[in-house]
Amino acid sequence: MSQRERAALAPLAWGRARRRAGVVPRPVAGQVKRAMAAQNPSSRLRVLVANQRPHRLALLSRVIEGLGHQIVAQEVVVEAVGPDTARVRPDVALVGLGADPAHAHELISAIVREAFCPVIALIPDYDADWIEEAARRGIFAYIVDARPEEIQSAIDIALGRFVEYATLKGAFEQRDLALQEQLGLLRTRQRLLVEVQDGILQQLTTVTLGLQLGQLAEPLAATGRAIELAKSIVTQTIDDLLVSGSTLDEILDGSSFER
Amino acid sequence: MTNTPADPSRPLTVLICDDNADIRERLTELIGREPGLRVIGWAGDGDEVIAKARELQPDVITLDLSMQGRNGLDALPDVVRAAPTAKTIVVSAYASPTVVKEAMRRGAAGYIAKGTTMVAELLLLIGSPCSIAAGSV
Repeated sequence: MSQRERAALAPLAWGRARRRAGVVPRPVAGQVKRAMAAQNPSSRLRVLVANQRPHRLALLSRVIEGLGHQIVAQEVVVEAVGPDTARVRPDVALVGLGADPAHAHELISAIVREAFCPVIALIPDYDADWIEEAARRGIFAYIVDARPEEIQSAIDIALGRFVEYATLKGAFEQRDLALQEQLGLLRTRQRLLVEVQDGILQQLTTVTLGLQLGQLAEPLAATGRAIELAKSIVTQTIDDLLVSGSTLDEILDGSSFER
Repeated sequence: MTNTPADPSRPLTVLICDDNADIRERLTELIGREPGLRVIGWAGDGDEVIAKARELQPDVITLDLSMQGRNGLDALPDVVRAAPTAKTIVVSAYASPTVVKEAMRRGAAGYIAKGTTMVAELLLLIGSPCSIAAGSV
């Protein structure tokens, strides 16, 4: 696996992990724009760094500043990283693996919950289990045994993928919105259809009761066939409505027709 | 299962609920032909049938489902509570198994789909001697 390949996890894994956690934030145009601007290698990024070991944190901060970026937050404890992330809104977050692997995972979760930016993990050795858990929690990329130039390369790749992901996600959301609108129109049409068909049945029922009072057999039989046909249409339409998410009450009292 | 009044000489009393006035009138006339039955009240929506059921305590209630205002399915549990000794029979155009199942779950004693044999079926469910044989017309 090349350095670049190692440096970037599949964006889809990131998206799935966040969706599973139910914390996918809505892409905000300004934030995406900022991430796009940050793709320019000459951009000065606002970086959050977190590591359980203070001395590693200081070292990493110096490296990041040496690359021309700004450190907006340095985090050691899990409890503080979430609020600080929400406050400083970094362009990118780097999380180093400290003494306790679980602690780094907690740091990642706390940042991902609050941030709309890629989170990159820095690890001394390749550890498939740790990376898998970190991916589940939402990291966008990881770097093994990083040198400064590798960190910059990983940041460039992560930011690029992040913009692609955000753009793609926006497109999916637009498509979902359009589908929801179409489904709403379809439901309205089906409910109106039920109302009209029910009216036909009511009229036919009135006729058949009248015929029974007059004992006119033949017209009654013909009416009966018409009712059976109309009934099957109504039944089918109701089943369609139920399948598409309407409730029985909405269908029966007609209250939703006016929405 | 039949609804038998305490006094066998007393006819079974019926409350009809349907938002279609023509259907109410014709059902009243057809049921009224039965010697053992007497229609004692009418209602046009879910709230009205609950009030009438509580007031009249009929032996049988026929209940339409699709009605403006409070629909019959929504009102059904309250109708059963308002007249616990009455046999509440749904008479509806909706024959979907889902609707039938839900109505029975909410306390209906029977379910009749509106059609040419609905009166005959209703009389059979009520337990009255049937003067209009199902399928004879």
